[in-house]
Amino acid sequence: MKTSEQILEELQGIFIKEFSDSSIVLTDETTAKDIAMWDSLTHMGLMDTIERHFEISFSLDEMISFKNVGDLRTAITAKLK
Amino acid sequence: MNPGSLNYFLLLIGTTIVFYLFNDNKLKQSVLLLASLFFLSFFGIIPVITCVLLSILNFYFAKHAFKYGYLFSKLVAINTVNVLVLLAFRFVNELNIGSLFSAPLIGEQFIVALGIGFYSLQNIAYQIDIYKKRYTPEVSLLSFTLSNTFFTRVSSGPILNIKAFTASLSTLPSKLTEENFTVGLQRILIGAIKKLVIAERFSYYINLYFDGIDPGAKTGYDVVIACFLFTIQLYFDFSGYMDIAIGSARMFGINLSENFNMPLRSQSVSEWWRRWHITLINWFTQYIYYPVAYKFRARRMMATVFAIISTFAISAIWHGFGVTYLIWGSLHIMYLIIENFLKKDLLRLNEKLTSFYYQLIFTPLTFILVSFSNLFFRSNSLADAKRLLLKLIDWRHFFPDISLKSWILNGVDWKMEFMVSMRLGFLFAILYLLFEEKLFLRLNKSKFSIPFITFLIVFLVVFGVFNSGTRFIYMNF
Repeated sequence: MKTSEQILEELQGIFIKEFSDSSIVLTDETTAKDIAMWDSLTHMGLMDTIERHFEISFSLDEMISFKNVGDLRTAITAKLK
Repeated sequence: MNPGSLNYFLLLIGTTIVFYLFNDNKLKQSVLLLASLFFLSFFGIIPVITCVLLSILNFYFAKHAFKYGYLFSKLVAINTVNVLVLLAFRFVNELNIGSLFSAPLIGEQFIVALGIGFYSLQNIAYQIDIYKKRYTPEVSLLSFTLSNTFFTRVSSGPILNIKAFTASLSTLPSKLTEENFTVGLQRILIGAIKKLVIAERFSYYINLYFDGIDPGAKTGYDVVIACFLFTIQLYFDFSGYMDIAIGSARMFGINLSENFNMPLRSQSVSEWWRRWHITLINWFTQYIYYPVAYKFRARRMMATVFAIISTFAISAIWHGFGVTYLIWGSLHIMYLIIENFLKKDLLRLNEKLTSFYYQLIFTPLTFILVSFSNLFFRSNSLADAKRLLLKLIDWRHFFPDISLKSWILNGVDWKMEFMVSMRLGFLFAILYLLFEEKLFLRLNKSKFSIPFITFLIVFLVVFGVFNSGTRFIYMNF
């Protein structure tokens, strides 16, 4: 069972790799506005990587409802239970 | 009846007075519905019947399907009806008025200069949302029909989320507050100024260059000016209409969504589409782009490319059946795909150049790219667009004259009075754009300021072009 902190750490690794940007530091409050490469054009690709990494699946409504990394982390935690 | 015409304002004033005579919420909504149907009836009886019937059909269909199990086949059936009605009216519209931009006033008589398309999109979204169980069906047929017909925005949007709009109808104000009146009036006045003081002044040249014989623009320079002016005109015309729609709704305590966020400041085409006709783009994003991108997300970049192509292909068809719209859509697809591939490099460039210099380069570049696509959007036919394009690339005859004075904002055969009028419009447009952000904040101040309102009225009366008789451009869509 992964802890919330572990999930955030793994998410950070995914974001850094996905957007080729080692300066990314994630917090629960991080939004797409804080990461230049994260927009509607790259969002689905990012979600796909996250799904594969954690071996989970999101619905479309879930994917477009995340307002920040905190929402994303909560959803992953719930699915891993 | 043209939003912004004398008849429209008489209807608005009359409706506002009657609206506040009643305290009962249902009666208030009934007043708004009657006024909306009266507004629609100016375009003929068919828009009224179609709008009411489609509202009743969508309302009861969603209610019934939700109660007895909303199957996918039901969603396909009802939205096939919505799409077919939309396509049928678009087709009839194009047959009747021919060229969308050069349509004479008689074009208003034809059924769907009206925004049947806009409420069709609302109904399609509503059915999808109920099917997906994003919310429960609306319980009031009155509120539902009003969300489709509401007269301040029925012609050109903004597109409403039916559920959010009907929720706002449940708290209609009992009194006309100073805030609603002031903000509403200020938005209406600035909308009228945008349309009558600025956009109207460009009409003569834009019509001459795009609609004249062969098709009017004589040199490449004329084509550049025509495309630039058209982009500016379209913004002032369309956002002016939105200001009137939003300001009018405010008189009834209704807050409509903003449809523009200073698009001429965009530093990329994707940013342009986040700032331009926002409610339509949000609709396309939510109901076309995201579902397609989601479905094919495992294919990564190809999924994005495919989703962009699907979105703009439908957007192009939405604007019209012509090949010129398809080319316009294709250009935007190309811009967005290239931008997507170069995103990392552009971000790096932004860092190297600093935001200030990046903005100096990419804001004009975005304007040029959008204006170039508008050459196709505005041309009456593919043959006209081709002729204009050939003039644009004929570098030997690009400028009308070798002397500077004859080509600064000036064509070879412009009449003096129109030239002065256009230059004045251009000056006002630039001044407006420079102070757009500050002005927007001022317009949303709720304290009634006699000097400010007087200034807006006097400015409109002194500099407005009142007798040209043209419609709002986007009423065509």
